[in-house]
Amino acid sequence: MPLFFKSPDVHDAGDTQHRALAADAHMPARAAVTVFSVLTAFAALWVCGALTASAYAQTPQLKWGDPVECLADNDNQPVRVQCKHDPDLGGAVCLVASNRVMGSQIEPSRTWGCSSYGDEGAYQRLIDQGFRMIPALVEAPPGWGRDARGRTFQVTFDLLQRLYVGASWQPTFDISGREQVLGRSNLEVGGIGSWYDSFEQKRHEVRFLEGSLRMSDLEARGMLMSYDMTVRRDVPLMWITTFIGEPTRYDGMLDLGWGMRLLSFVVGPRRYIDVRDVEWGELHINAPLWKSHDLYNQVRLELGGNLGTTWDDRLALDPSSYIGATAALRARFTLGQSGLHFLTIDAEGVLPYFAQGVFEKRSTYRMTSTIAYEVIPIAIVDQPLSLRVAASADYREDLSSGDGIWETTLWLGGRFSLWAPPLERTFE
Amino acid sequence: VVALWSLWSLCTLCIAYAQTASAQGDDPTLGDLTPSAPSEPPTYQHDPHGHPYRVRFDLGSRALIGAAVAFTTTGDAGVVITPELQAGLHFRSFTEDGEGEERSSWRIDNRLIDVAWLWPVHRPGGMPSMSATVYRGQYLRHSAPYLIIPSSPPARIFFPFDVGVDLTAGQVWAPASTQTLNRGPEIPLLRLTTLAAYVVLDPWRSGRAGDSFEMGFGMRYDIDIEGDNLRAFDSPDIIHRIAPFTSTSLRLHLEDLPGLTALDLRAELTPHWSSENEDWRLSSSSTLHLERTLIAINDQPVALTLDASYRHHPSTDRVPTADEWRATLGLALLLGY
Repeated sequence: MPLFFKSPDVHDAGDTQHRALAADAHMPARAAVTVFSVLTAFAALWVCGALTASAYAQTPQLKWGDPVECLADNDNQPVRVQCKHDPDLGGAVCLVASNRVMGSQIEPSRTWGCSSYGDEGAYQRLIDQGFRMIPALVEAPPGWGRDARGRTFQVTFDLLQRLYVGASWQPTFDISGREQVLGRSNLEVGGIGSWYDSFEQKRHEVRFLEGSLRMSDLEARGMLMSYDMTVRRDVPLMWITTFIGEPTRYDGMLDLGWGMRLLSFVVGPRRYIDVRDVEWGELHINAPLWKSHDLYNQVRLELGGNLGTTWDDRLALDPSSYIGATAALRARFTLGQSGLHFLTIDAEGVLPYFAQGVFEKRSTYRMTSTIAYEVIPIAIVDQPLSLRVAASADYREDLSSGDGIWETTLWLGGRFSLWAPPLERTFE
Repeated sequence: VVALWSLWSLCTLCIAYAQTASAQGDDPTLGDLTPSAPSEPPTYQHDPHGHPYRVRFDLGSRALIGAAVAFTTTGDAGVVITPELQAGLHFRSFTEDGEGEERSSWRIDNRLIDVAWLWPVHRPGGMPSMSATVYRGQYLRHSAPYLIIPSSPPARIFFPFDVGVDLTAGQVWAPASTQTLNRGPEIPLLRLTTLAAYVVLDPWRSGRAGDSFEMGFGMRYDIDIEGDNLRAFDSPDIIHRIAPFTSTSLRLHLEDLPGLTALDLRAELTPHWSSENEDWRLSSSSTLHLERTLIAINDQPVALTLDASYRHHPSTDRVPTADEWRATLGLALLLGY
């Protein structure tokens, strides 16, 4: 049962409810302490990581992609060597990195490979030729770092390719301020896949098996899958030539793509626990209003239609089917090139028209908008653990009473993402 | 007849104007054997960004989809205003052969499933009014203005006409109003043109694919099908109308060089034998079609169309003489290349 705090002008009758309210009065404090503890732990880990990283950040590193000569040093230890003339390092230098993980006989993983192998005495000949030997770290592929012991760790993350599970504290407020639900939490799972076709200049994006469960009111939401294709065109999609006077061409640079959504549901939205809504399918066109070169960052507009069914057990057990118009404005930005900071904005409206059932020939309006910021402070076994802060506003018109209700929700929680690869982006 | 002579005068004026504007040094006697090569505009232009856009079109080859508002009157029945649809597949070929005085060219305009107009809403007599043709082909041969008589030796005589054939097969016309005699209820009526073939002579001899002035005479075989008032075509009255080379026609067709503007005027006068009372009757029709491309979307032109027509349909035992006047204004999407 959700925790309700009501303003003084709202009177509850009955001792039972008063006792329940009194018993739950400590919930916000406990929740606040829990959130503060989690944030403190995150901050401590972040500070420790930053201090450790700064200790070897100044150490030179072999460059990924440049030829590497593998040979034995004067102590007959296997090393990886890149020699070059670098004025910043004082002329002819060789960067030398141990070809073993410190404290073991294991070769470092994720290396560029050996372009050549030096014979016995090759190391000394380099010294004799005037190269100065500088200790360095083994090279690491893009998106990966390497510590002083030679082990790799992932440092960038593509949050558009991952499976995730998450949990958040989710206080909800009536927009009128008359009602607050502070003891509300949310569990969520989902999967995202996205890839950029540089030849066709299209980005494909798939979301699948996304679901969330809010407690303790047990509002459940889910979606089987969605697909979106956004496109960047060099040739305009449409141009208009006028033949009134001298023929003149006007370009319509509308990069139209399309998308769809299959089988979404909402069961027992808060306040309306007897309502279930299933959207069987949705189809839309999309047009980026702004996009980065690889369409990773974009602001896009979507217009489409959907089909669905609503059950409202307060009125009848029979369902009402609808056909609706949908519109959405979505934006996402990864701040910087590491993928550690991710900002999303989603605003979506649905206008269903009931063609059959108890709500026949009626229409309603629903809208939801969310702004979310996700940051990755740490990764566990190269799987990022992110902190996510979001705020959302929802509007839903109750078909039974005809009342329209606004609600705002804050999200404060984390997500643990699996198999998010390093962020590989192409830039102009 | 007055209408035909008026049309003839208009055509003559148009021809004189067109010759003055476009001949530019051509021998008025021999005509020009090549499609006015001098000032042919380019097919594409480029905008400041280098993007090409089409500025010249082939008005004879396209798929046409159009919508218009039609104003129709059949004498004292008042004016009916209704939306109408137009559609058609048009394909033009222009071939040349030979050199010098032996050079000849064929212009062939083919029209398939050509729905000149269709009223989807207003359905007098229970069926939609329409004028549609399964196939129409207009063939015109252009060559040096001589005929060769295969005598010995062959004789060449002056013949200042291009020669062609205007062929129509499978045309359906369902009039806008089919009021029966004494203002009785409307009945379903169809005129089915099984075949109409005209030999046409073109004294203009423009040699261009788009310009011609054709005088024709030929034969027609039309079948009128008058339906039953209550049960449509269950027991129709069928009237055969045959014109054994007694039908005459005039046609003026003009197109500008970029293919943006087209004008087509056509008139027919058809004395024919009717099977109803086994006597001779007279039917006539005239049409005007003017189109102007205003814009092109992705190089597919959208044209403003103006159509006007008059049709005289002789009376039958059940249906009085019908004089149908129509005027339409619409937009047409011309899909082609």
